[in-house]
Amino acid sequence: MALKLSKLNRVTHRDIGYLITGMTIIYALSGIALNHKNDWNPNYIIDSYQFDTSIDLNRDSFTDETARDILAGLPGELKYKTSHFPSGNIVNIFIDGGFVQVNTLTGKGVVEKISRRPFFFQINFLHYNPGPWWKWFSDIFCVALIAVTVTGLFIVKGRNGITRRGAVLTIAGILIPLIFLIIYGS
Amino acid sequence: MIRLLLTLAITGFLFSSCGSRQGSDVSENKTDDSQAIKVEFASLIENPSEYVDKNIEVKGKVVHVCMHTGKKMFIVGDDPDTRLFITAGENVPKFPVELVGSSVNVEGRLEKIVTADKPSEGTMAAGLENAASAVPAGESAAKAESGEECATEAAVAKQAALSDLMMVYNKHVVVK
Repeated sequence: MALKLSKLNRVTHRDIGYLITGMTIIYALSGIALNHKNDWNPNYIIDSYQFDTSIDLNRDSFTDETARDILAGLPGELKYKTSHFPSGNIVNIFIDGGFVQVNTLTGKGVVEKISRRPFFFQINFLHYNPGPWWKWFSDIFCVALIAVTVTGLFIVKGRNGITRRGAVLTIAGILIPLIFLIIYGS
Repeated sequence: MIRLLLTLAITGFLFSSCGSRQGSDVSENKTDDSQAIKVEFASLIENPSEYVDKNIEVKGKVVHVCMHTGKKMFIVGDDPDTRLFITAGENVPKFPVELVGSSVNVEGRLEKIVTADKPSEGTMAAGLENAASAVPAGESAAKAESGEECATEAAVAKQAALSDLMMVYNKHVVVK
């Protein structure tokens, strides 16, 4: 009986482990990427540069032609889409793959060209839960992750098993987040 | 067989990683089947309460998509100072940033903004400062987008109309 349980445990651990390999890597990599979202933009690559313009920017006289004139003075081919000039001193000129923002008081502007960050855009998209079905799928994945973890505790017997070395490491692994909780949670 | 499966899985992922299909990130949210009422943006500004809790379709220009979460989008009509806040809601993927500058017909349910969707007072105050100030040299809008700050949200909070309303996104069509 014990042998059968042990075999079942091992087989469950092995097969679920294989099954969730892809998802685990996706969540882990996007987790690292999103963890550092204040240091970089994990979804988009933003190429930006600043410029100065002497073109007079007045909301009443601003037209598509004015926007095109500004773009014409900038390096590269910037394809004009449209513009947005709310009250205040910032005008936004939208271009294919980005936008241009100009301070109407100082004439200082910035061009931002935005493109999707390959690979990370896609895995972050999945991480952010793209739809109701994915929500259920990721719930199942989380349950599978728990199953792999719990079955993993009982794979090895003896001095490296859960009763000795395994117990020490498992307790250490539980204590680490608890220490963080005590330090930051109070 | 195993090699074939692995090759298919890797190829499939690589294919999905390539290309940038405009609008493909936002699928239709079929939570509300009622027929949408077509509304002019100006009518919405004039009499927003008439459309609260109703499924409406409105045409506007996308002036901002939150690059941080992709869950927020803002559109304007003829009046550039009155933006409509559109939230992707829980069950819809994020809005692609490529939508910015496009004219769209957006359909969704107009709702009063509940506290959780509104920026906190502190955030609003910080945002208002950003909205009022000029673009500082070396600090781009995209950088300002990170964290909780959002100048567009702050601007919406102080606008005369639609500041307390949001549209819960259902679907959109790019017009131009």
